[in-house]
Amino acid sequence: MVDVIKGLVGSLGASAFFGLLFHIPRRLLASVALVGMLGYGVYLAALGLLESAVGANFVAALVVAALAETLARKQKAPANIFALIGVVPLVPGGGLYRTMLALVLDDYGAAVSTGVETVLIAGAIALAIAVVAVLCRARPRRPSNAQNQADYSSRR
Amino acid sequence: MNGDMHKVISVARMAASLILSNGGETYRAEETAVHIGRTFGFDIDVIALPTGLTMTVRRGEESATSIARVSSRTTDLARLERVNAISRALESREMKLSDAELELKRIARPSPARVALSAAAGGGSAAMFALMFLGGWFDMLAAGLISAAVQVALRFLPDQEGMPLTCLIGGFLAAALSLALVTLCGMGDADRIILSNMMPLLPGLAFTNGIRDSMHGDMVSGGARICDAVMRAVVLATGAGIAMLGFLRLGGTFTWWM
Repeated sequence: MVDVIKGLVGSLGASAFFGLLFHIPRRLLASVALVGMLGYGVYLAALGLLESAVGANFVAALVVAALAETLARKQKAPANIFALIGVVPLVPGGGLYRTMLALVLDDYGAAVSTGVETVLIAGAIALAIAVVAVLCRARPRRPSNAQNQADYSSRR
Repeated sequence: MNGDMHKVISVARMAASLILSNGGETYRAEETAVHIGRTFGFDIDVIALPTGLTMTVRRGEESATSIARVSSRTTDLARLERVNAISRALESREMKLSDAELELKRIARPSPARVALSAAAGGGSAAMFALMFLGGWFDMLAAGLISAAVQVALRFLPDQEGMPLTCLIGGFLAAALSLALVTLCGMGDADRIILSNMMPLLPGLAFTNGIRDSMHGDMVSGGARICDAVMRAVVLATGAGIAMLGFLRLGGTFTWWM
């Protein structure tokens, strides 16, 4: 339980400071930090349920990306601001580090297995962001399509 | 009418190149230019790449073309948000074109290097990552101090971003300083401290933007950005690996793996 609180507080603070590092607008700081913390919280919960780091990262990134699109509409700011920072606690830095450590220690078997897991985690996060991007894509293009259709019909 | 066209293309170009040079997606740069053009009754064709953009504005027989080179790429989300607000205000006709031009010029002005802010933010985020990875108070303190030092050191390199050199040196410094500090103090967990220092340097932003670009059908930019992110992650790990290998050769051991 203490570990979970440490993880949540850590991910909250890490996202907030990471946002500051990339000059995030002050009015968005709180919501961005919360997205980061919620994403990591979902990751921890999903890790307990699914017992798979790849699956847990996928679910967590899905939540982060969906939250980013929702908040972007509410707060009238680009969605990628929320997605970029919110996904930061999920980035598989641990896997990358352990892969490097295994390579340094000449343990190629371990390097390959952690390396593959790291790539899979990165792929899972990518897939989750992609799924949400495609789902949200269906709506905002509508005005431009209407405009184009009006152009075409008037030309005919 | 012609002057109007040149004003539109200059505003659209400035907005799009600001988005590209401050960490926005390529498709967002293109869409912003198209929206600005449509608001003032022009058709805009624009091709944006991470390194530059070209656009043609058209109305009837008249047309004008403009090219912009995007040579510096950093991440400044505040600028991104301000450009977005201007584009929204133009579309809803709350802002005049000449005001938008002035405002965009103001945003484009180089901001003073805020070394202290970068150091504090980098240090703070590494310290919080150490907490997230369940480190003790010493791990947090060490990660914060080293990350702040790395951020300050990276400011003295010629190119801030885009150069793999930054990642190589960043990774090396993060690992070397962590191992030195843990060895000297005889306490703390070197693995956690190195990892917490690497987290703020990882190219999660380039990766996310690359995926978002690919999913909007922009394969060239998406591919380039994902490639950039993967390369930077590998170079960062290599930098850390060089320091770790040196530490091993000097007789050090790692606790995590054993």
